[in-house]
Amino acid sequence: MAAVATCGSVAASTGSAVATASKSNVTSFQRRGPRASGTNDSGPRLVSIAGTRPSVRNGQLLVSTGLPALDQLLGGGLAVGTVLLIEEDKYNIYSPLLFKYFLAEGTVSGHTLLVASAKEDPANILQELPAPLLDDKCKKEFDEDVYDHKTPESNIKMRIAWRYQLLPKMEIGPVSSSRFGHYYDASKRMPQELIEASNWHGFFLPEKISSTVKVEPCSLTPGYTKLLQFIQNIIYEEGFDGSNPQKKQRNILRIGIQNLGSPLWGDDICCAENGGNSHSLTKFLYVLRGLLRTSLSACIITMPTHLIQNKAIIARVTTLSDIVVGLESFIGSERETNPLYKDYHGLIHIRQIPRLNNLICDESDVKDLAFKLKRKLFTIEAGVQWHDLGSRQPRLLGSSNSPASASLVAGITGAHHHTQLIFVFLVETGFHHVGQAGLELLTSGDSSASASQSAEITGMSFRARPRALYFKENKSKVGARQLLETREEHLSSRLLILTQAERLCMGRRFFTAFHIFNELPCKGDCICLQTCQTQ
Amino acid sequence: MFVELNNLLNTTPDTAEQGKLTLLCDAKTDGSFLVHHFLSFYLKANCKVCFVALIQSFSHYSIVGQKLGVSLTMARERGQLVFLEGLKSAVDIVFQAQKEPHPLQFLREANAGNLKPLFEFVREALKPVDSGEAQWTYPVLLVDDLSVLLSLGMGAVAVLDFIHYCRATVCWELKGNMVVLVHDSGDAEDEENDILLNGLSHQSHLILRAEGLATGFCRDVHGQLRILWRRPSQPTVHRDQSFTYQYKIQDKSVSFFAKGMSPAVL
Repeated sequence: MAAVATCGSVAASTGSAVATASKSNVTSFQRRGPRASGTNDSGPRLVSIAGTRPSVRNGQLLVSTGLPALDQLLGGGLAVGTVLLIEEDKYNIYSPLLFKYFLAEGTVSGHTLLVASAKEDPANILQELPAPLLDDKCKKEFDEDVYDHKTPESNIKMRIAWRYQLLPKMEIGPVSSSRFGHYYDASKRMPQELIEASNWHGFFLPEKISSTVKVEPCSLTPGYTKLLQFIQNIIYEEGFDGSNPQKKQRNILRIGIQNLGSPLWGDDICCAENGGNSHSLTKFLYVLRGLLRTSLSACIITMPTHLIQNKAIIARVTTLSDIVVGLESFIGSERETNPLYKDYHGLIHIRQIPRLNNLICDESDVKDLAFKLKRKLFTIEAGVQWHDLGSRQPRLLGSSNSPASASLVAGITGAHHHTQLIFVFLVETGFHHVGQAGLELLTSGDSSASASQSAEITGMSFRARPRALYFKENKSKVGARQLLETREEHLSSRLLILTQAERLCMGRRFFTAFHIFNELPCKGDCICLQTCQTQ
Repeated sequence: MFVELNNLLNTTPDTAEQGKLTLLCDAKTDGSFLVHHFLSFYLKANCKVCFVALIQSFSHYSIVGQKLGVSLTMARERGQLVFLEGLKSAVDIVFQAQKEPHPLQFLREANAGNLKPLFEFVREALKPVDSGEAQWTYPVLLVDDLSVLLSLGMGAVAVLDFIHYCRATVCWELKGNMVVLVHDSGDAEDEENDILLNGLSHQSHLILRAEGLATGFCRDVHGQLRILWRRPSQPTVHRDQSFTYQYKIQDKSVSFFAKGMSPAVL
């Protein structure tokens, strides 16, 4: 379908530098592949459901998360029957956005929604969904008339490939679209007609908990038990698991649970280290996953993992979820003033991707991803200040000579002996020798000095050898950008900053390593430095 | 089963040892490919397999099994495979009161007691059928994975008791094998998990430990496998043997190579 192809190409051209791996764009050929994992093989084969597509790798049915960039990173989308766990950022600013994108995608695709929250009334959450951006290629699929023609604004910050800028502008209107993955305008609300046309169920904990229906004790907190019963009820009544003979459902149920694990749900894992209910959340996740595996549903959960006191629970929760995405915003952290990050609002970490029906999974090569919330769009970009280089034969340098306290190892792939390497290690206090040890493994090149930096750098530098500069994170007000600027004045040198490897670990200091190359006369050589995380 | 892994372990389906407990352990990576290997290995060796699958559904194993050359549906139909699907049973147990005791009925109870019903289930599944000639060579118990039992409220000691009972029955009495998977939480300070892991490492004959690379993610080398024989069969070798290989998982097989000798690098 032309609309589908457009979606694919627009997704490839807008903003995301992630689109290196070519996830194949959706074709109009719908594979009648096996159903979502867990459902009976002998059941009827699925005809295509609106808003879904089969995975390229194994025919798994996928739904969009509402962010096409995130879909690409997850290998095409969220598989039906799985749980997407979002680890909330510290002040819970960006995770509700992802939550709403997921629900908005469901509304636009015509899926049934189930919204559960202990904090906000689900009706209010649905009022705040972002409005979809639709071009008029999909106009034929709309039933209603279009709302208003948007006058082309010159400062729309959505980056479209140049050939699409000449197309007629976006129009917003009530729609039922069968495309996969839409773009949303975060500054506008979804039209009321769309919300009313959608089929949704809300679970607001304060309302449900007051009803005194006898619940058998099963070591789940009452809130979780009620929620599980509610979900199971909806799945059974509306026929999402195919067990109800009266109802034949061919739609997806999108479940969204907000702030799971927070004290509002009656759980105390965020308050106490070894509470009485320490197994409640993990049991809930287990039973929820059992429910999802046997039905046509997909679930998004946002969880304030930064509040959970017992770190073992976080590890268990991660194992029990299928996809885990962590958000880390820069607000209030030292990175807010770091010039390297001035364009971005935070980092996204894809912590886990499931291997469903397969030995391998589509793990993205790009590990450092940053997001920013522009006026209208939420974009994810790869490799902060990453200058993409051609790659040589990758060869990893072992971490054999780093003492146990090192939290980072940078691997060099393909160092060329003519270039002068400048390593910038940010190391934990008390550990100063990794630079020297690491440097011995390098072949020291010609030591033409140049390097007239005006940047203030703490640490040692070796004159006749590749230089090592130690930055301590809280002193690097200058940062790499200034270094880059001073470098660029030099004609013969080409400074390339490759991206940082960051180690995020609880309780430890966060350090970043910058690898700065100073390439000397021999041009045409490509160095690819791949930094690796030890976590 | 992966032929290369068989070569490394020096076994074939026909010549596998009996009465052994194999511990699969994964740290910072996914070790489920080892479970698929052993499942297809023992099915090909014509053993009676009892698979307690707590973490994934039947169709997941079945689809991967087809890639490895075994059909789980057919094995289940002819009685070679007894499959306990944890996810599906959990839904039934929590939402409907069960008449007869279910192996996973501890999910309903507030205070988890012990895993006795689960052990009864295993014993019932693997007990030798008296009728006629012996169809299957020896029984095998596969558990994927034990760390989930800790998440569901069981204590580490209860799980260790369960394994002990199973070992006494399956390995010693019935001369079968056991393969269990435990996650290593690493620095997440999961004490219960550490107790379980250490206790099992002490009891097992063969430990396969899949670890992520210390330097992080790499597209060509997915991880490192450490093989540790606890009680080698030759009496002359007194020390425990340990080998380390790096591996890369492909669509239908896993290729192993010595450390640093990945074909992508050479």
